[in-house]
Amino acid sequence: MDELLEQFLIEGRELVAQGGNDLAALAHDPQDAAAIDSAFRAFHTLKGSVALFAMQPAERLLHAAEDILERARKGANPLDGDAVTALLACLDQTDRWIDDMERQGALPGDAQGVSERIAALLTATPCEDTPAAPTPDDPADWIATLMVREASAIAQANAPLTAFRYTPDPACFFRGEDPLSVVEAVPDMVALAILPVDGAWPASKAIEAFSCFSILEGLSAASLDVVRAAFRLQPDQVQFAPIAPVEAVRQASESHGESRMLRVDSARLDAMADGLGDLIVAINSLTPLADTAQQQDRALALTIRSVQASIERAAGKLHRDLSAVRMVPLAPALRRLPRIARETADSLGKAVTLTITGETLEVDKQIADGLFEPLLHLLRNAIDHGLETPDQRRAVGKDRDGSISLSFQRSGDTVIATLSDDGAGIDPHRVRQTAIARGLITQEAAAALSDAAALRLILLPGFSTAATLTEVSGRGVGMDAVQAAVARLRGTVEIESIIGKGTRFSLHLPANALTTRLLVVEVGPERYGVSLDQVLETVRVDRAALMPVGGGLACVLRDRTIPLLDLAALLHLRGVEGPYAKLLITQSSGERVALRVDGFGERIDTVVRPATGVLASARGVIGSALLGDGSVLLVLDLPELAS
Amino acid sequence: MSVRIDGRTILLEGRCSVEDAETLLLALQEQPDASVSVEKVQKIHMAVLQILLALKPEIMGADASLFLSQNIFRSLIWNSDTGAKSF
Amino acid sequence: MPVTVLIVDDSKLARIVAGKALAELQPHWEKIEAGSAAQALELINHQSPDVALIDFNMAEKDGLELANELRVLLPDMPIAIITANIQDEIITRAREIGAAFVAKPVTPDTLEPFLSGAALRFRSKNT
Repeated sequence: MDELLEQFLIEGRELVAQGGNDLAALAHDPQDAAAIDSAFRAFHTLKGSVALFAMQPAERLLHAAEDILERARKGANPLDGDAVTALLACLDQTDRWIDDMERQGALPGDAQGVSERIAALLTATPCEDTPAAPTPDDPADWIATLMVREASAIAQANAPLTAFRYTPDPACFFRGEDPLSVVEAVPDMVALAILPVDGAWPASKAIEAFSCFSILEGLSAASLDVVRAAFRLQPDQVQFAPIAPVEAVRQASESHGESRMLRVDSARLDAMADGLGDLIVAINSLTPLADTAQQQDRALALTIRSVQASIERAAGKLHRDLSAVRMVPLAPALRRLPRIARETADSLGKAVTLTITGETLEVDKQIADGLFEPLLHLLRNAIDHGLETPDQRRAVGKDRDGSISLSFQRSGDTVIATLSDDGAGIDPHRVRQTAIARGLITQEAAAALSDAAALRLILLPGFSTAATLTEVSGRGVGMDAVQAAVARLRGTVEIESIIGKGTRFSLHLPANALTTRLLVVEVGPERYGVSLDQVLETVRVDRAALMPVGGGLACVLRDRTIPLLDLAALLHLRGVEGPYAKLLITQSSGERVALRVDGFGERIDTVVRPATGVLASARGVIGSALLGDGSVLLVLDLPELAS
Repeated sequence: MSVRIDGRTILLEGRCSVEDAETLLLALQEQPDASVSVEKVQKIHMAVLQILLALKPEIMGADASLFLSQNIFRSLIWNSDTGAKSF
Repeated sequence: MPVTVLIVDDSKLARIVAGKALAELQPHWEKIEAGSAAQALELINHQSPDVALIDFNMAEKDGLELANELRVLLPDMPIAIITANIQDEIITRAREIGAAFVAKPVTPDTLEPFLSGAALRFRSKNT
């Protein structure tokens, strides 16, 4: 690739990201002068860069955007939310064009039209002498206003949209109607806005609690007929308008009629994943069948095994393909974090810079969906408890603004989310004292913990109590909520902290959540599954190498002494004594622990169903897996058993 | 009862039905600078929501319902961010 | 004085179902039942219900016809038509007499909006 283009791809995307951050700040405060300045520079530089290539439509669009920012910078025309939204649509489009340049070295044929459409949004934003209130009652006007307001949703859509404006009858509450429920029933909503019926919300004293004074305007990806059906009971209160997508044109010209994009309800993918899980269980049932056949007809057994292998390969490919479809970038799930960070810091009189890297990483949808909550909690916690106040920071020679970084990286089948702050760090001594004071651990046990293990005490339920939870990070839940949320995703939490320097939380999560690799282990007469994610290694050592230490056992592994627990004893079973000890090495509370088993069985790929009912309360059980022969394998949680 | 007052915070919880609109309105008229926590909201009636939109109290918490958090509360927070300054 | 709800449906089972949903939502409200439109009109002679839940699909006279007659006798009463299958023609007729719809089968969830609207009306009448 041309060196110039290569550099442009790198730099252009950085500028888009910078502009995006600035616009996010402007969405929070459209008058933020520093953000306007920075956004202006990003757009200006981008404009200069695209001018080096055959990207005239992009150049013109960026020029229009730059104009708006320039006027805002001079105070001639302050920005408003609509202008910020239109600028964002412009930036998003530039980002897509950069992708096009990378793929085919040129802009798609419709670029000119797209540029004009978005530029129209930019100029449509009421920058000139901002009128106080729009005139929502002009029938044609509501559509134009809506298109500007929802510009980014429209730009992202790749199919026609249906817009509606629903003006509920003021007395509708008395008939038992809830306009919000009505709108909730509209399928495939992509945007919703609730506006005051008179152009401005009534003042507190003028409000009548049971009179409806709202208008609901929205966009749905469903067809006009489908949207109309949702309003069947209110036909006289709704107006509709079809909205042609900006994107549909682009998609169609790109695809040459073949590989078209498809919007699929994620529930359908979930159903496919479930079906695939059942298929894998069914395939596993061939193993005992082959074993039975082996006793009568070796050739038949061999054929069954080879058939099984080819079905397994096909299912494996299906699994990979399906996993890939379910892969979504993390970025959308994180979009709210920067703003929440700013708000949280503001409310505490602190200042913070949050940098997010690696958010383009793709992970299973379930992981992306499940990650927001624990990250939000860690972030609030870092700002509230991690970062010092500006005065304290100055006193110890740190920057006034705290800095928090959130990064994502992939390592094999694992995604690692790391949140680090440059705050005061966590003092393991104080953690020990608090845990003792809360009755979570005895004085002796606390003293025996390494500092690394002591830090993990903050993850215990009951460690944070109402007294220590402030309004911000508290909300009635402690760090144990993070631990629980991550455990639900079959992940682990690691904590590192240096007093005075900061704290780093790492969440290790499986990138693919559909099936789990299990190792079957034998303990006495029973067989259990253990997740290979939790097994660092399996080793076989001479029984003579086990050493009694204190009241228990230990073994030496690569010059390190690690504690050894007997799984049979933990499960109240009678183990089998043999000449060798078979060990599973796992990690519990940051320490390596060996668990002794009687034998290793096969490795299987299967769907682990979460523990329910009685099992849910059983210590050390993650869930169960259905085996091919119809029997149920309990899946153990090694770290929990070893703790 | 889905509206609970805890000091300077008004907590909305569970299914906020139409009657809750009056309770919320009175509470916000009494304490105009109170915050409203929506963390435990499962469903909110239009009557209750429009009080929040009109009076723009500080909204705390991300609620449990996906529809509400994606379509309602996000824009609510957005509006109260910009609304307070441009009016 | 407790609120009285008139439930009209020619299926006893359906009346039980509606009654249960009612009891769950408004345990202090009382109910009276009628197995037909005729029986409902008969009841009105000596009892005055505050709310009516009427099944649309009844043998002799459909629910909307009954609602129409009740509307004349009790102009302010909240009326809901219970139906599994709402046709546009029914919607227009129901709108004309100011009746609401409750989807069949009646559950606390489907009944709740109508009842809370009715409750609201009694409340604002009292204050």
